[in-house]
Amino acid sequence: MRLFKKHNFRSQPLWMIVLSLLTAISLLFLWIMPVAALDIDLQLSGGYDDNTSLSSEPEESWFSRYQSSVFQQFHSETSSLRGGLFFDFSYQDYFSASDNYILEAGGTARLLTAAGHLQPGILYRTTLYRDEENPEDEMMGHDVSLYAEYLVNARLTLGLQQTWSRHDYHNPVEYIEYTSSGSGQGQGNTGGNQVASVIVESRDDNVIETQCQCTVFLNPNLTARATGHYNRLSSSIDTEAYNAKGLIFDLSWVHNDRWETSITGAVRETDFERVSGTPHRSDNTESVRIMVGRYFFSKRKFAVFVEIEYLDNNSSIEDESYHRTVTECGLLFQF
Amino acid sequence: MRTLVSILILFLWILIPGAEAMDTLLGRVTSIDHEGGEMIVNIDDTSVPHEESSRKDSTDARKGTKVLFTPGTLPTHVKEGGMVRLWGEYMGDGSGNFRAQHVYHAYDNVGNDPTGVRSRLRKRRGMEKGIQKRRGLGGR
Repeated sequence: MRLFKKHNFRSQPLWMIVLSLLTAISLLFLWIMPVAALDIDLQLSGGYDDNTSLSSEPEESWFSRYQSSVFQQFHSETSSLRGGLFFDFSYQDYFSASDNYILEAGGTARLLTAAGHLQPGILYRTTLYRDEENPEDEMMGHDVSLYAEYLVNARLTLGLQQTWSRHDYHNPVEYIEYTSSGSGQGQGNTGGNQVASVIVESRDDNVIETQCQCTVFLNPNLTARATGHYNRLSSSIDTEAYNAKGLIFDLSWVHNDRWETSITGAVRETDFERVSGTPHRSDNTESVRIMVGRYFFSKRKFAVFVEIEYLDNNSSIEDESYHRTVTECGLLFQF
Repeated sequence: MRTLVSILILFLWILIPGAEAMDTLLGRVTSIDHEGGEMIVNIDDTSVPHEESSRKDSTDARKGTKVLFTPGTLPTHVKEGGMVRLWGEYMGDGSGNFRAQHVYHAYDNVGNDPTGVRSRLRKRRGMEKGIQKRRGLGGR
């Protein structure tokens, strides 16, 4: 198991600027606002993934995952302003493939308005993703979200969120391009079109996501939530761009303050950009996830959980159709 | 997906009957006595109309409702000035006091995730190996 490897950080200065800004904001919050206790979460888990690369030719592997999260909340005693900073880390080790990890850092600020019924907020998050198995996936991302939650009544909460994301990929990306004349490093011929393998030095994506959420509190232990979302991804690689829309249903049941069961079902339609000469691609994705957890000790400081997730992707392009089942169990510590 | 829908309907059918057994209140906390197990809440919304709540006059309403809870059970993120969602029942002794069996921060969509950390942990699955694999035709 190799936790870190040396990378050529093309955006390292930006990463350092972000860290510096977050540190400055933290110090500012510490100076002007009282702080709540630090929330620390540690999660250790392991499981089996029957399609690690989300491919029509699946490669399966056991894996272990180590996650940590630190959250510092701030609040103002003179106003309804709340804020928080978080730093999350996740490392995943596939036993039959190479590992990957994610670093996330960000902050959020929100304000209680309309006698407490409306809570608008803003969230910033920067993400660093490293993948030894698929280096072309390595990227750095920046997200800014504006959101608002509205307490309609004691049983119903509505939410709206708009997110803008920027993903800068670090390594050269190889993709297939259809041309009539044929050019590039590797060439072939399919259905009268020349197929060329093209390597581009950089890839940049911009993502816009709109999300609407409805949460119904059915009883003290049962919460149902429906989320609709629309995503638009623009990429420097034409064939990567898409429009997607989807629905997510989530039901969470807490029993005796000790057991938690949740069922999540999701459907998503992804319509990729039509590129001249290239077969059009559209995907229909369905997934279901069931999680059962058992908490121990007061205030739910420790939990054991088991989770099963099944995902099925049907694509108009045969090679892009696949399904995946992930079974995972683990421990969660909350401090 | 039919299986999923069937499971969800069955799940709701089993669990929803208990939904009306308790009153639900939404309000803003003005003061908390952690050791005494009491807090004063300005009630904004009562999902289930109740004789006790309707008997309270406007003066009492402005002062807030006394909510009783078991000491030591209050979630750490419930603070003065914050919105709370209460499940329980009015005491029925004419005092207008409310005995809360469950107290949640109103902006915790799921009671076990007050900081949103678990939601973020789950979201990471979308960043796992392969999810951002090449989308171009012929990509693996």
